[in-house]
Amino acid sequence: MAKYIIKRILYMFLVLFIVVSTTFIMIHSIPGDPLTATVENLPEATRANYYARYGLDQPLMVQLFRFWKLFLTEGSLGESLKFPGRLAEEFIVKYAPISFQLGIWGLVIGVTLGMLLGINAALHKNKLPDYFGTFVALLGTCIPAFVLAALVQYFFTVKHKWFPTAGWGGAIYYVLPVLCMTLSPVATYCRYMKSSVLDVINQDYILTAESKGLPRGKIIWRHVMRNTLMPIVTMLAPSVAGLLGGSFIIESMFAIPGLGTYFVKAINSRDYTMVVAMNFLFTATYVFSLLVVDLLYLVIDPRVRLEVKQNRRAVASNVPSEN
Amino acid sequence: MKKYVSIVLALVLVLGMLAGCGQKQEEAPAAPSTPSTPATPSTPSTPSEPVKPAEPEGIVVNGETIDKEQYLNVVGSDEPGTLDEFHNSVAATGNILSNLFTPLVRNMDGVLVGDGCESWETSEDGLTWTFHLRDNYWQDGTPVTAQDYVYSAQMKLKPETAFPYAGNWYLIKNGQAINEGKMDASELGVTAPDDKTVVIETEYVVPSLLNTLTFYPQKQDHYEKYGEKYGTEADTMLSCGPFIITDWTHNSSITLEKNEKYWDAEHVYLEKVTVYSIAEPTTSYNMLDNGSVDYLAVADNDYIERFTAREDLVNTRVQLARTFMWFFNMKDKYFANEKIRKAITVAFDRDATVEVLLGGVPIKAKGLYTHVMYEGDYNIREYDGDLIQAMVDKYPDPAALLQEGLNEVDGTKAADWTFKAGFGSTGSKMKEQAEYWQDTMIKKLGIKGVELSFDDYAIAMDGWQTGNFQVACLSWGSTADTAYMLNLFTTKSNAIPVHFDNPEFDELVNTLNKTVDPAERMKIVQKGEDIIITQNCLVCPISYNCNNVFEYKYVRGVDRSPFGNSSYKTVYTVGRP
Amino acid sequence: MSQVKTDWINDTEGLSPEMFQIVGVDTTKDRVLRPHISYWQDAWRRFKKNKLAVFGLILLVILIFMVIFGPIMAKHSFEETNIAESYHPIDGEYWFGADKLGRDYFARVWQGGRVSIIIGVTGAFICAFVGCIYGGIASYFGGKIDSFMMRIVEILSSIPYLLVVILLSLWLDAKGIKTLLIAMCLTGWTGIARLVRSQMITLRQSDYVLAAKLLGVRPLKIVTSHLIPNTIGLIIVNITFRVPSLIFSEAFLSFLGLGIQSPDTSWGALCSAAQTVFTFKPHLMFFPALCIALTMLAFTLMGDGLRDALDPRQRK
Repeated sequence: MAKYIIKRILYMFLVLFIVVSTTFIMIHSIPGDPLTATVENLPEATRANYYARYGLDQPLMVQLFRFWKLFLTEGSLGESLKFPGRLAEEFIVKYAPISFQLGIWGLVIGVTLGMLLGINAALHKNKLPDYFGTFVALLGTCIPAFVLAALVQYFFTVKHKWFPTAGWGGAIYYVLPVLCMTLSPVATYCRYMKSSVLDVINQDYILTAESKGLPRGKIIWRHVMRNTLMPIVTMLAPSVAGLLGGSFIIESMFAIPGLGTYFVKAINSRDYTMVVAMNFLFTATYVFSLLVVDLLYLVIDPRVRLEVKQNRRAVASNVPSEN
Repeated sequence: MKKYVSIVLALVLVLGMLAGCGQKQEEAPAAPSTPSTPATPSTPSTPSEPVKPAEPEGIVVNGETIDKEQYLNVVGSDEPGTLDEFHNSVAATGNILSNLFTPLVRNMDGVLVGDGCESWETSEDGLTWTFHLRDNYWQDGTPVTAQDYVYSAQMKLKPETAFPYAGNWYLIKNGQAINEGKMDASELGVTAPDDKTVVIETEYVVPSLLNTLTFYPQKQDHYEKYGEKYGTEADTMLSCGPFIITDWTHNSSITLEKNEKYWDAEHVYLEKVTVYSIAEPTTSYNMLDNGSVDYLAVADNDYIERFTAREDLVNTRVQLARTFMWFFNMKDKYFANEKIRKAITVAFDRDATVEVLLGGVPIKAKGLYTHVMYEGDYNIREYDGDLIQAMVDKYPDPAALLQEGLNEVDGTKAADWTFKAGFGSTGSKMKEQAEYWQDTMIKKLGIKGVELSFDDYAIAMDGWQTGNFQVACLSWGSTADTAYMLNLFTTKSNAIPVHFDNPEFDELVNTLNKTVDPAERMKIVQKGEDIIITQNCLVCPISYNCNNVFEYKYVRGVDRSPFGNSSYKTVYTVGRP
Repeated sequence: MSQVKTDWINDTEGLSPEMFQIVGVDTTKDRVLRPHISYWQDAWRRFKKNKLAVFGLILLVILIFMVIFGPIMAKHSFEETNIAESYHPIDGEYWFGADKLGRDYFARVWQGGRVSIIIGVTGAFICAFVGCIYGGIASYFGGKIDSFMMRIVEILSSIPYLLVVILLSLWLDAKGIKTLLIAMCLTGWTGIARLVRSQMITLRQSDYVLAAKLLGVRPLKIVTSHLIPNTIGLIIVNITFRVPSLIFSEAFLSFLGLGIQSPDTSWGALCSAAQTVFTFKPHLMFFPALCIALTMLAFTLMGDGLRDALDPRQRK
């Protein structure tokens, strides 16, 4: 087991290296530079000075090498180009938690509600709860985030001045953004949960449990839930990783100082450092969360646990027979 | 289920909000006690704002008793990249800086008023400007000296600073040579003969120098103390202007508070200004709607209608020095032909574009220069007249003109001809406009089609500069310097890449740079515009941008300069509910 | 029961030896006892029984019909601007009103559906197909192959999509639906691949897979006929979510020059164009969003039906 984890962690670094380097090369190869979009009157000398200051005049591979060198020696991801004087990792440390706090609320509430609705829909298939689940899923998927955010904002801050329109401060500023962030996970997890529960509910062991006379709640909690968690956990991993990066639409609508607006802006304004740094953050959390998920599989499902052990034996003996 | 949870959640948070409001109200009344002290008994120094001795009820300005609590909430379009003026490349920063520093001269509602200086004079050849500084102090109590202004200007042009807007400062003597690393920064045409005098020499004659460049002071030892970190957070800043920055929640809001050490502090009424960084227009409209901000520029028809109907809002249109236009690639086979360029310019439907597509906010273009550009006392637009209308009158049948042009090129039938138009935006508004122009071009010119391509601005501009386009659309801002627009079309300039090589025109711009007399200059500018628009039709101007500002009726004294960088120095409120 | 039995034993009257003859074994007759129904035939039979699923199918057929004939039925061409009719209200002339440029919204909505339905459906199926095979293979073999294949998925889904499509739009000069599909499916399959894998690593130890292995069934066959049918529910849910998400993201990709060109349009493009005005002109957002919702509804209902029909555990 320990060996498996160590191996996975080594792979993690490899994937991180490949992804970040690729992103670095890609963002640099998009035409235009940080000055094109903002400075109208740009003599050659000024551009050359700018390039020299930020090391953009070097060949791309040299820049890439410098990036990794800086990271490995000083642990820094470099200075932002659009926000001169501020290091990219400072942004991450300061603003990723804001996005995360907001996102985790949306996700936790959304996933919980979605799962409850999904279970309910599966248990009452082709009845009202099922149709309600389908309806919520339709709403959650087909109402674009900006529409929902705009409607919520107009209704709760202009029509009824119950909440502040935008900004960041106490708990009150959480309500509307979290409300907007909840709908989409409710929709998604409701549908997946319903499908998973339906898969499980016809299994023999449920029948066995029922015939043993176990109370319904216990059956659902002990047998159904545990066996439906695999896809849910699989889907949660990227969502959790995405939380740190924040949501572009929600954060720009409610002027939340998270990371969500930075990424798209950084690409548009060619803030190479920020693009690479944010990709670094995303990839690291994403890959890590996938590792956690793979380990969770072992905890959730006994069959998977059994298999990892068996596999080592099986590899040698099984190969010929499988051909 | 979901309903209950959200209701419970809402309740919890509503309670939280109430608690929050309570705190705010406690804080707020404490504030006015401090402001009333400096502004109380003052002898009126500016005639326009007679300040009467304070009565118990409050301060009276221009015959009105102003509110006890003086604060302002506004929306800044974008988060300032940095408040370090040497490294900033974001336009939004300018507004904040003009509140924190004293420029030598401040443009207040179109009038130049000495801020850092008491008076100034220009030499006869128009190349040397002398400024006599007034007594003003930095936030830390040290005096603002002439050296501070010199330091700032020199830093902007030093190659190692890499100031992105250095190009605008090439008009200062030796500016270009210093920026190119050929000369030492001490040779710059901004010098300080003594602590209270700043002398500026320009490379060529720039009558509108003070509207073109903003000269801020910068305290060298403070700047060097923070180095790279200067301007990144509120506490790294040192102000000498009407306000100091007390809080900067990045990407959310900036708080400015009155600077008591400012020389004119008695005429600064606002105690606190909150500038929200809101990128999403809908959000800022909602904030104006519910009174979270006190004024706002509104660009969407529907919201304009909604706000016009409101009785507590006043609408003003502020013209800007920005032209929205199509420009042609002279290197292209077809667009090297003048008749084809003119046919498109004439066929362009400016009325519907301005009135319907752009919501009536901008003004229909009449030529290259906007209505806010002056040469001495001459308004360039009024002097030159409507060049576009003249062209439309001259060529009543653009389709025929196009066919003539095509015949001169390769004899293609108009009905088989298409051209490509590039746009530096991927927003749906741009797309909507482009689709309208596409359809009108097809209808009016009888051509087969127009191929539209949308790219992110930097990609688009990059492609245009390498000559990879036929027609492109952009909006270009001008400085107050009349030579600026003409300079864009000289042979060596590739800023707007029309690839226009005309020695006669280059010579004309050269002459303009040596001429002092406004009447003479006006004639040269007129000739220049004639070459660019009437004779060659290098660009097809569409409209002049405007800010359509809605402000609450209780707001007074908002500075509206067409060249941006307005300060909140003169703002106050009367009767804020 | 017992009564019947005794009757039968005692009832020997009228029986004669002639009645008992050897007629031989007719093997064909034995089979006819119950018609042999293949997995797919059975699925179709059960699908037809599900009223909601059939309703979904009909809904989809109606949508496709309207998308083909809607633009012809409209009184104006979808691309013809008429600035005098800007925001024309809904009436007999303009059934869905007109947009800002005075274009007939009815024609535009159905014209837009052509691209959207093609993109949404094809894209979703391509992604699902690739994802299933990929995830299936990875989980079936496990070990190093799984590890390697999953690392590739991680890399593909970590590289910023926005960058990929911007670069793609610069590299690929060809425009149109094909390019659009490439851009969309480039990384779109990774989600379902992970989902399928997660399900299959629990299933591959099942007894029926072991049995199939022992019988010498080829790995691909095991994946396609044993493992995938057992994860079909998830796959279907994934497809129903992918259809609207592809429809929405098409608008963005078309902007980058990868997809359809102006004045052609799509539901996604109509929605994003309505973004700034929908609080004032809600119908501009409502109609395209409704169409997307109906498409998704059709797929959800059909998906639910299919799920029940295809689920081997529910087969009776």
